[in-house]
Amino acid sequence: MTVEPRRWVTVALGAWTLLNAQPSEAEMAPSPSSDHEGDLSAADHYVELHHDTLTVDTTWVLSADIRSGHPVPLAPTLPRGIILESDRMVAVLDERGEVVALQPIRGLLAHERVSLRVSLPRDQGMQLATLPLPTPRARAIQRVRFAPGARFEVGSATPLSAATGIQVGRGISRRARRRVDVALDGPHAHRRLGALYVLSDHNGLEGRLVSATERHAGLTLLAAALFVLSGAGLYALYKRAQRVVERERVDAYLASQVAPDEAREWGILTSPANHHDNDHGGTTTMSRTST
Amino acid sequence: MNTATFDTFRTLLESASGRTPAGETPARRTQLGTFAVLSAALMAALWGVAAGSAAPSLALQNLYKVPAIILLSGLSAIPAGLIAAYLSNSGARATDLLRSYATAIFAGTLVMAVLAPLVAVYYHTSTWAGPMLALGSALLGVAVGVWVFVRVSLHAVVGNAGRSSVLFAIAVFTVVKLAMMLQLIAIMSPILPQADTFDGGIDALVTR
Repeated sequence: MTVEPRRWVTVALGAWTLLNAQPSEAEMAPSPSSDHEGDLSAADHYVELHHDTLTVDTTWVLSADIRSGHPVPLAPTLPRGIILESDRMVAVLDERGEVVALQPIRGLLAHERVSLRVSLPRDQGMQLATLPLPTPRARAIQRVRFAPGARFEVGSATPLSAATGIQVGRGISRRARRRVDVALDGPHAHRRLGALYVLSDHNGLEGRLVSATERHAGLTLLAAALFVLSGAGLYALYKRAQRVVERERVDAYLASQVAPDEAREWGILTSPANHHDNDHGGTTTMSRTST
Repeated sequence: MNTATFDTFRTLLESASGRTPAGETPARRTQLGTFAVLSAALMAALWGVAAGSAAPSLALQNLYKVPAIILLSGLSAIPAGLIAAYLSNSGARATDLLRSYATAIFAGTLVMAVLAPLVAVYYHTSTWAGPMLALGSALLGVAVGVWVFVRVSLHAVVGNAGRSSVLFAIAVFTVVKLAMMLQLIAIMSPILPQADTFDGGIDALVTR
């Protein structure tokens, strides 16, 4: 990932002004080639880590028809051992068992939405160098989102620009990103916080998928234990202070009912408030309000 | 809520609004301070449930995650803040500073708690506004907390003490708390149903 020195400032300011304009980005629309079946208006991938599987729920919005019997080549191919579920497509495997293309069950029309689900064993998914995203060879902007608990550290091969709450591949314009959101979510689409927008690449989206919960499991437990201890300590302190305050109130009441000499004899604190207020040389300025 | 608890809550509200009660014993100040922090933990839990309500397991985890972040980051800033107050010769009483600090945390989480229903409703009805509102309410809580800390401290603490020394101590309290909060969010993440700017900690902020 390329680091720009002013980026952290942009992110920090962006967080404070969530609704403000984003940094300007070069105006560049993706240039989908049309040599292959599978030109897309947009693609959305939702990556989720389960107990023993990794799933990617993908939605393609087609920009051109796909004729029946014409496979959509994928780039990169999907690894061997994955399970692909879809009511519109079936997987085409090569001799190594990798998914090299998806074949439509029937002809698909432009603007049609195609839903796919890719599942693979969690261990295998975590070790992959690239995310197993079903991506047609024709270039298009891919929107990638992650479920809670799944974090993706993008490899240095994919330079990113920071925008408010999202990460955007270098060269993807705001307008192009907006087109993707509208194609996927409709005319009232809004930004999806945490999403990653990248242009599809033959090498795939490189990076490391990590489980946020597993990564910090030990520290989380430690923090939870500290929280319980400090919460209990504070509660004990509160109860103790409360008892002292109640005793002081009783003392103050009794002191108001008996003569000062008698109160001193009984060991009653005659004027606790004034006593404590003045014990630091009057360094504070306070205004009284009744409580 | 019994009368004494209600009375304590009202006193804290008045204190947060700048009307610092006079004539309090150290025991009363301790009672108010601890009550403020314990209430803050409860209100933070309410916000956490609202922010995670899109995923029930996340909402359940947020019951302890968000209060833990508030409480631990708050406690961790106390030594540094007190040392800063002492070394800068602010002349401020530790109990006064701590009570101002606790009141600030109380006020910040109160803002988050009152916005919690809005956050929950928007999380369920809007993919855009929900996350924005959650992040926005948290940032607003921080801003209000800092503002209340400055106001209450200057009201309650400043007399002969220099304002600049007290402000320096407040800055140290705030910076240490926010720095700790940032990393605790990273440790405790996920807190929101989607990835956000802060859940990678300082690394994500400076290298994204």
